[in-house]
Amino acid sequence: MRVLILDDDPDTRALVARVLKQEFGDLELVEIIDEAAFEAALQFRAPDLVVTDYDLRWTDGLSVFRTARAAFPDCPVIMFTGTGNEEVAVEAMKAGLDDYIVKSQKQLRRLGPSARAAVDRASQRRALNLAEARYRDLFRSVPVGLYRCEPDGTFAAANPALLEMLGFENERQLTGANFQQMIAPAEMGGRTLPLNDSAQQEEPWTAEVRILRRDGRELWAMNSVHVVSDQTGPVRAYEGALTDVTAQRTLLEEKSLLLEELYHRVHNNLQIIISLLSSAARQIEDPVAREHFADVSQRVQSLALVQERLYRAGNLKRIAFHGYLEDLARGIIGTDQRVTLALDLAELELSIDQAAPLGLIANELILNALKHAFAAGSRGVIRVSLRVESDGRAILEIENNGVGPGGSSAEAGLRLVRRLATQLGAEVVSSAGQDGGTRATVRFAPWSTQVS
Amino acid sequence: MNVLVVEDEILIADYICEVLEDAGLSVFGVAESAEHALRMVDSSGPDVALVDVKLAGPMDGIEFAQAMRQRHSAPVIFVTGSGDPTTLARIESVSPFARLQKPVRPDQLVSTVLAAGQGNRA
Repeated sequence: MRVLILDDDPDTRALVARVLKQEFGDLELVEIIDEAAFEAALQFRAPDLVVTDYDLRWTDGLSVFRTARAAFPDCPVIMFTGTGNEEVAVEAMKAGLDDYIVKSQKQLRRLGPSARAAVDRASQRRALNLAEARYRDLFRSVPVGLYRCEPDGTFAAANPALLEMLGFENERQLTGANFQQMIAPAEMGGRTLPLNDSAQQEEPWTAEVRILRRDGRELWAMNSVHVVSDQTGPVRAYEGALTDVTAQRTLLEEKSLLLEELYHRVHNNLQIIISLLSSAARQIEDPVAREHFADVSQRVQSLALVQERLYRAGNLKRIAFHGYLEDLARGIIGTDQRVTLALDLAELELSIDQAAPLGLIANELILNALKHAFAAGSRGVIRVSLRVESDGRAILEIENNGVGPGGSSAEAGLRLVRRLATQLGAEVVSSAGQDGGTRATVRFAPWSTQVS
Repeated sequence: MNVLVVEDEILIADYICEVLEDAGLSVFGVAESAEHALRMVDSSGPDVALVDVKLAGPMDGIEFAQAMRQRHSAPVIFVTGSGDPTTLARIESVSPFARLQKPVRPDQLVSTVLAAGQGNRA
């Protein structure tokens, strides 16, 4: 610890030195008797304490105090004097002097403790200044917009990141600006800044907000807000942090637009394929060949239905296969009055890789039943059922009560069924139906259960 | 029954016309854009309009449906490849008779047009 002692009287300097050594122990004492020595001492290193007389040959104690504080704003200064007066004491204390001690036997006892208190205060002040400086640096340099606003939303403070995010060029422009009015009300996460709420119900909250910047541009941000208040008192302020998420939102919107465009293209192109098939079929006289074309169109339809289900499901990975089967079967039967459709479909979600080929299998089996199971003019029932067995395997069954499959297009369809069953690792069995018709049973393991 | 087809993909328009004519319906006209279609319905209107959403030209099918409604009461059936929520909500807002998803099934197309035409005449 370094202490400057300014007094013309060597005895007083020795007295002060003795008292301070008693108080602090080891000390670096610098005794100063002229201006040159004082200047040199201040330039050399920051003192931890200055003890000065008022009346000095070369200056006075108030000037010493001001010079020391000008050089080192935290430096504690004590005036220890026999020549000062009340006016000097008042002026010095007003200016921020740490203490004013009269040279008397009675007051001398105060010197040690007063010096100790002044040094402690200075050290606390330095610690506080350091903490404040750190906070200020962080506040100014953090890439997150930080703000404080009044209960009505008027800005009270903001860091440079916030100014930049909201389009303010400098802090002056912030004066009178209202944060609440910059936030689009619908996007406050269902709430506005509650103006008169008391704090006890107010938990911090975070919401994505759309902000109209000062220049009129739009900004999307995550706004994390907390209430500043006394324990039970009214809201005194809101403090919060703003993170710009505009880029992420733009990306999401682009992705969604891309997906919509893709969906539209896929469906349009499938429609064009069907149109081309239809146009080609019109050139063909042979009714069997024409039927093959019609079957291909129907297969394209069954694939389109998978795409549509997939897009509607929103996750692009799995579809509700039971819902798909219902749409498919109703579509194939269409307006055919001869056939009644009986559906018994348990809920089953399938991945797209499984749903598309299984959809084609179901398509062939239902189409076959419709075209070939019933004699001309006769009525019948096509039963489509889907269930999951206790071992996790799923069973798709298509059953009719007609006379049985036949015809060359049926053969082509059944070949397709066998090939797709191989791809799926599914087992297809044909058997007699309950009511005299035919039953096709497709047994397969849904891939989600295989994975687990 | 006279059906207006508003569709910018000529292959799809041809296909729709074939399906309609196979079912004994007549085609009022085919337009690739809303502007063209509006000129067609200037003097007389169709019984039913089959309209795609995305069309050639600045107006889309939904705007066309709104504009046509000022002159004719013909029911509108949208035949579209779009399925996004925004477009679906816009379609709903003009109260069409039906919306058919592309690729459309021929029997479904015909039965929907017949239902719309009958509703219109009733």
